[in-house]
Amino acid sequence: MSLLSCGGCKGCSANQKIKTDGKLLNIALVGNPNVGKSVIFNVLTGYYVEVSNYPGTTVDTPTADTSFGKLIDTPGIYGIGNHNDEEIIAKNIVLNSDIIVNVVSALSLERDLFLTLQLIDMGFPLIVVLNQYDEAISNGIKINSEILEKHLGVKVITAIATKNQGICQIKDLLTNNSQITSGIVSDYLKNFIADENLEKVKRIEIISELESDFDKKEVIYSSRRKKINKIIENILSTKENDFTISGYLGNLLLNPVAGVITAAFVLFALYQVVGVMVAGNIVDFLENKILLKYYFPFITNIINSIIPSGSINQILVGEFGLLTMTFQYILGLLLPLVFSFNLFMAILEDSGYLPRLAALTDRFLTKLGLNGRAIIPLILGFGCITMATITTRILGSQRERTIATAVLGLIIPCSAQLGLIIGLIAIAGGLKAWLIYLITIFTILTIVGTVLNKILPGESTHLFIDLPPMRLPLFKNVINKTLSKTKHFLIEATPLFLLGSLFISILQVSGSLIFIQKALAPLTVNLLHLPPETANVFIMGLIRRDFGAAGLAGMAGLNGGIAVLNHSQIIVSLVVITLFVPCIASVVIMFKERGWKEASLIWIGSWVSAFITGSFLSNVLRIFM
Amino acid sequence: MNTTLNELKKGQSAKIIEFKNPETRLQSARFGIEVGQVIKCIAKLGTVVIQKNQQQIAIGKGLSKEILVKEV
Repeated sequence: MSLLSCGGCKGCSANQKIKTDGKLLNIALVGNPNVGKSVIFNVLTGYYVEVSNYPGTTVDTPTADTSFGKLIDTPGIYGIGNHNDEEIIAKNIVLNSDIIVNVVSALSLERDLFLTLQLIDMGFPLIVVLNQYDEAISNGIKINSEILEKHLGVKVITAIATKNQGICQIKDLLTNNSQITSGIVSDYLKNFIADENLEKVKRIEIISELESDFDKKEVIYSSRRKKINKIIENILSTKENDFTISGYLGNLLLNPVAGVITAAFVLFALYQVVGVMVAGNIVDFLENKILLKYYFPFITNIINSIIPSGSINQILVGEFGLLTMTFQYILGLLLPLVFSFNLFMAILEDSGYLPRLAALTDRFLTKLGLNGRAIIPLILGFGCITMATITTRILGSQRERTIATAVLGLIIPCSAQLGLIIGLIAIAGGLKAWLIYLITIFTILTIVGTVLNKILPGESTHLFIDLPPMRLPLFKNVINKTLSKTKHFLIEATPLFLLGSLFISILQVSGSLIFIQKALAPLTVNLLHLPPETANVFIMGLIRRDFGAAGLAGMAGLNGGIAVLNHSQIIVSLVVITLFVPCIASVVIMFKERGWKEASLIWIGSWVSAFITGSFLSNVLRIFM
Repeated sequence: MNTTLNELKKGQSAKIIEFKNPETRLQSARFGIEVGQVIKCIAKLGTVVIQKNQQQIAIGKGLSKEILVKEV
């Protein structure tokens, strides 16, 4: 990592006061969600980190060495404690820091100062960065930062990080850090801590202990709030601004009618971008024009010249080959889909739309034993179940995580599969087929959620979230976030794909695959009234559901081949493949996240629900279609 | 007259009288919302969205039933 020079800032060579035995100082960036921490990290270091407008989506803590110390970004938190994963991560970083850069938003100072006072109470040397000052001004808010400095006893720097304003002052202060102080201890703490000059470490311990005692915590919290109210009264003046675009848009999205229309529009746009443009055109181009035409012959020739035939050859370049199919899936299919989906999600996340969608869908999700927060993993699931299963961590209880994981594993089709489903439905009779498909899937979703909500012990948590202001996403951030997520996904998915391909290749080479196909045939023919070859599709679906859907596409004549399925058979097989077991990658993650008991139940449950629903639908359609 | 948060209509302002759930009280303190403050209900979707100054918070129905308020 390179050291970043101070550019035009003054005072870079001044001597430092806060030191840790020749080692770099640990400087933590701490603040509430959506106050611009990550943007500040980016401009201070020149590195890019993910900027998220939805709490819980950032678990990484980027670190960078700079000329003034080692800068560490932390997840957005409302207070230091053990309230959730993010707080625990942030707390651990804070406890090991020499200096804290506390970022607060001028737009929500009243909320943000709670964390500031908590940090000051813990005795950390601190700088307060009063960020997003432009947004405050456009909302008619004025803040006297000099008086704020006096109240807190620490340096306050006014900044607009997105426009690079105030950044030089932060660098100057961090470089010449003799001016960084640890603030004025709050009076309310004097009842609890006798010696005002206790060592830092000791103070943190005492305060952590105090705050783990519910009654004492309440006293401290409410005194802290009172102090903040007094400060706010002295420093903040508001002039009622009746209208801001951000405010108007934010409230419009909370209107049930406008909210539903917007949600429908967003889904349509997602379908157009990911489903039609990328899944259709770009993936088709990559697979057919590049991989199948140039790469496959090339790699097959090389391997054939070394190992002309046999099991090893099959495993490397056969039907499910490590160098052929796996390569094709990861680079030809998943990379463009995951990239475009992440791009779309990044724009949604940074705009502040998702928390409003969470508020809008909360009521329905409550009936399924979830709350509005669950809309995030569910929506992510339409991109990739694997990624979404990890995101269920943001949910408030184990119970909700179980329900969300089950819904993801059983019902939600991923983007690659969705693209194929949409194409097949067009063949099977357009709107009518769509309605049958959607109603069936939605009914199963409701049944699964409602039943789990009834049988699982305990209680789900309720929605309680802060809605960040609507903002125009920054192009740079959106791109960087998309790249970083795509990279993470590739790193995680690739080994699993190799493993999956190896497994099915071994089945094929050993002859077990044919045996399984035969064993499954009665199920498909007798139960679902489908041709026996459909068994192949389900075997393929065991590895990945979109792999199975691709097999269906061939059987339905989507690629110009001969159709062996009629319209109702297409709908039935689509429903079955949607409800069928999630791909190997997500199953592995499910086992990791939920344990073997729950994950196996979900896996078996998906067999049961897929075939029962398929059989039921098949009989109904035979009567009516 | 005291009522609960979920009874407020869109556009109504109210003063917070009591949080019956202590966890909610603490979490609210972190968000900057506490007893005695005046908030405005800006959306009702079963889930209540309240606003105080520039801050908006969405509260699930179950929680909003446990927050006592007084219309102003």
